[in-house]
Amino acid sequence: MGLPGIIVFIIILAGAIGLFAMAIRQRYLILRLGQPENRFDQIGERVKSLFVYVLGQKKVLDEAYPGLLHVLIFWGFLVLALGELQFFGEGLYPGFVLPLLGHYPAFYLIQDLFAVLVLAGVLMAAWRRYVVKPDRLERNLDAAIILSLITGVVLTLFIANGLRAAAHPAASAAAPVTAVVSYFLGKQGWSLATLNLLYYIFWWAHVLIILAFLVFIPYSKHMHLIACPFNTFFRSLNPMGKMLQPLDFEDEQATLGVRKITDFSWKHLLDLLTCTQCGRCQDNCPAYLSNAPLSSKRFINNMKEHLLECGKESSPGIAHAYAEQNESGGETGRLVESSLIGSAVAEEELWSCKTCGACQYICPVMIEHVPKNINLRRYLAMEEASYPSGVDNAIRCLEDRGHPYKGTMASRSSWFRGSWAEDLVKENNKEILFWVGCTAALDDRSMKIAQAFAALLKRSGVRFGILGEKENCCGDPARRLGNEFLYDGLVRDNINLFKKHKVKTIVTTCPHCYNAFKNEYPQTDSAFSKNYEIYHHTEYLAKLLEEKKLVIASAFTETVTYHDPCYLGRYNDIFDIPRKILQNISGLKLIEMQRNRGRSFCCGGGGGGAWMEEEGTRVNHMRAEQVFAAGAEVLCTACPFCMTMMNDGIKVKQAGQDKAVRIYDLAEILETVTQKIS
Amino acid sequence: MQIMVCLKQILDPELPPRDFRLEKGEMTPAAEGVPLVMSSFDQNALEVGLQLREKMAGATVTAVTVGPEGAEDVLRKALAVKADRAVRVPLEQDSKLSGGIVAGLLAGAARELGADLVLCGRQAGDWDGGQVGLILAEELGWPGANLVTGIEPGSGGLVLKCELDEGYEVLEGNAPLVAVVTNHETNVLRIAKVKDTMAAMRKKVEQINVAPQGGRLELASLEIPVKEVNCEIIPGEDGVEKADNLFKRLLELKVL
Ligand code: SF4
Ligand code: SF4
Repeated sequence: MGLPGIIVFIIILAGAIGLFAMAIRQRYLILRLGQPENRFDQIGERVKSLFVYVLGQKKVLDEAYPGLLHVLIFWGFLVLALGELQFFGEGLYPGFVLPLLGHYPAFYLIQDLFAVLVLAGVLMAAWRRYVVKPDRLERNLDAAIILSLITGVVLTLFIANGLRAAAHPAASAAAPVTAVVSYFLGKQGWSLATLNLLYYIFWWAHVLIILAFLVFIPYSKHMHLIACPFNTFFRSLNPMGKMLQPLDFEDEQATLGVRKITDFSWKHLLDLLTCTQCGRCQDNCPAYLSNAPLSSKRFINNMKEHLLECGKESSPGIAHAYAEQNESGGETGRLVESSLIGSAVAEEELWSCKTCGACQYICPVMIEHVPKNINLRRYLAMEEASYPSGVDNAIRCLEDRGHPYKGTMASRSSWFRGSWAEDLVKENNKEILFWVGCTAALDDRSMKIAQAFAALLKRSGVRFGILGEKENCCGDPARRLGNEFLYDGLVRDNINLFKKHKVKTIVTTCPHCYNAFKNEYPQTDSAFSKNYEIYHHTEYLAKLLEEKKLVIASAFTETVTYHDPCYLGRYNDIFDIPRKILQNISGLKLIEMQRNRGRSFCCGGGGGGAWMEEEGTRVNHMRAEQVFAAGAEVLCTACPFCMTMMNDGIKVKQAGQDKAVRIYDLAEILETVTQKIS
Repeated sequence: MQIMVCLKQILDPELPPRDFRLEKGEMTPAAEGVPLVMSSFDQNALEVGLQLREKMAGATVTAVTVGPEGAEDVLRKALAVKADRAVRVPLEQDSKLSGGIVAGLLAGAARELGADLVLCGRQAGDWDGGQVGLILAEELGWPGANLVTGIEPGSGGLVLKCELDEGYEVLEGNAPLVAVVTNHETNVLRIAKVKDTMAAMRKKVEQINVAPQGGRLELASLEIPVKEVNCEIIPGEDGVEKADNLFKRLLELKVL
């Protein structure tokens, strides 16, 4: 190409890299606006995540079509990146051969094939976005530019290589697609000079497209190319049930919860920068699907836009601006200071979330949606004392009575009153504490779960106790509703209660209580996990069955579908235990709903949903329709909230169905099919 | 303006009836293991006081309760929603205490505090007596307005909105006066902010000692009524047969 060409190339390259680096630095400074958070533990595990989720594309492949197209483009690009070095080199310096790889014909063959794969991936993506048009994908400029750039990269590569091969047939390598292109170009009867000129034109076109792509990345949703490996490396390694961080109430100056963008930790800001707008979360978000004013995707992206605007406002001296803001401590009228609530996120949006975790479970780039929501709720709940209607009463009731069911006609002893269980509350040597939980104790339908489980314990000869009127709320509703202070008080009271009663093992039928004990109480009392063994009743029943303390003696000839409670499944990874118990019951035919296991659909009761009026379609009605669509005769679940919500949903949706669906907790089904061992 | 709001701690009125316990011969129901809460109309009165304070520069709200030390819980709640002061008139829990005696104690406190406006809930959520407010007005020799839902500062004094059967009336008057408050969607007690709740724990509760004056009506006995429910299921294969059997049974019972 000669010296001038090389110089021009170097100038353009340096310019592009410079622009790219500036943009990345700016993004880095944006992250520094966030609060500290330690995500540098368990480095080995983190490195492993890179292999599994980035190189292995594990989550991406959860969905077949979009997964495949992404893998084609992703791996295609990784391989092509090496080829680019050869391509740049030979354009600049004829006869250049990439050290090590460039001598092998296979290298060129692989390049050629992977370029085809990228092209195939791009076509699949374009087909999907512009022909199939799924609701979750937007047809915005960003996406169009990216798809055109990638197509441009591959086409110019083929044409330039083809022209080069046509000009120097002897030097051409074993590359079938290039060979075909070269064959057609060679037939045009162009002179060597024309071929060379055209080669340089396409070479430059290719180089410019690649560099444009590079510069465009940080400004587009393709920032995920850079951010995703980091976001994956720094992902939460805890079970989903441990995703909320406790607050320090000793520090009276600290804002409780998140008001402005910089109240989030840097990792949450990195999450925002990483979102690829793939919309997978939205496709699984019960709030969005039920037309509530929330889409998990929009939630993230509106905050992302806000963050980027904040970045622009303070740029270039973001770190400086931050220091200044800390010093003045007051409002400066700048965007970084402004409240997110009411601008980037609406209050209704926050309260519409069921905290079901489906978004987070599905997100291929490890974005953590729920803690962001809860942290914003914390601000509303604790600093503003602002709750949606219905929830305010639940909160008042929790404060006054230690349960959220205002107006209940039951008390915590209603479910066993006058029966065999009177002595349960007496303090003597008990193997386990059966923690009943507010819903199973106070809701008419769910009381039957407590009764069935207690009967099963009795049948198995387990000496168990309950706390009766002394039982409190576990704190889960308060925490999900953002009142961490109330939660904290309930947790401390309960831990004292456990100590006083010398409790060792706690079994509960409620996945929310279970999650609190299993994952959240240890945040308050570091010895909690060591001092107490925690079981969900499905786990405990599986244990009793295995130890043959319970024996299945009769058949249950029904077609049953199992609804995964969010806090049991996604939050605690208990998917198989209840299914296995069901499968071992003779006559029982277990079928799955379309949305099951990790992709199960919430009943609508979580995150305080049980106390809120829903906008749009009711989530429990939607789930009930899914039960009917599966063709089940019996719906089995393992959570008193799900029971209450689904019981209502099924009742409403029953009309017009030819088959009736009955709903049972797993304990209720087991109670009818097991017998006492003598 | 010194606004005094009278608050009573009561046994949770949402307690299911079958959990209501009363030892034989006792005049006070068992409170062990039962939540104690602020009487609900008193919550409305407190909210009316807080809203009025927001509209009147220099006004203060003082929450007052009559009762044992445990009753200070309701005062802390009032401090958490930012009442300026909290005062307890000490007295041991005793349901023999008639409305008249309580009104006397509160009147003593109102004089001591130099209150201009006294707000009470229209009746306590436990015994539903509904006497204290107006007797208190009588004791103080002040005018008393009943079924008030909200108070605004007006050009000449105070404007009180009062509930009527179908509609409302507006009264105008000057302090000192006693307003007896009823519930309305505009006076649901606000929820406390967490930092205010934490601050309330550290605030001082004052005490004012007032000697009880003898009431003329006394509680002589207290019992839980025994209700007997006899349930009989009418047999029958279908509606016609059941109706037939029901008819026969009603004839037997001489109901028809
Ligand atoms: S947690 Fe559930 S309801 Fe909330 S945003 Fe995510 S998917 Fe939607
Ligand atoms: S948050 Fe995750 S799943 Fe949702 S659109 Fe962004 S990248 Fe996709």
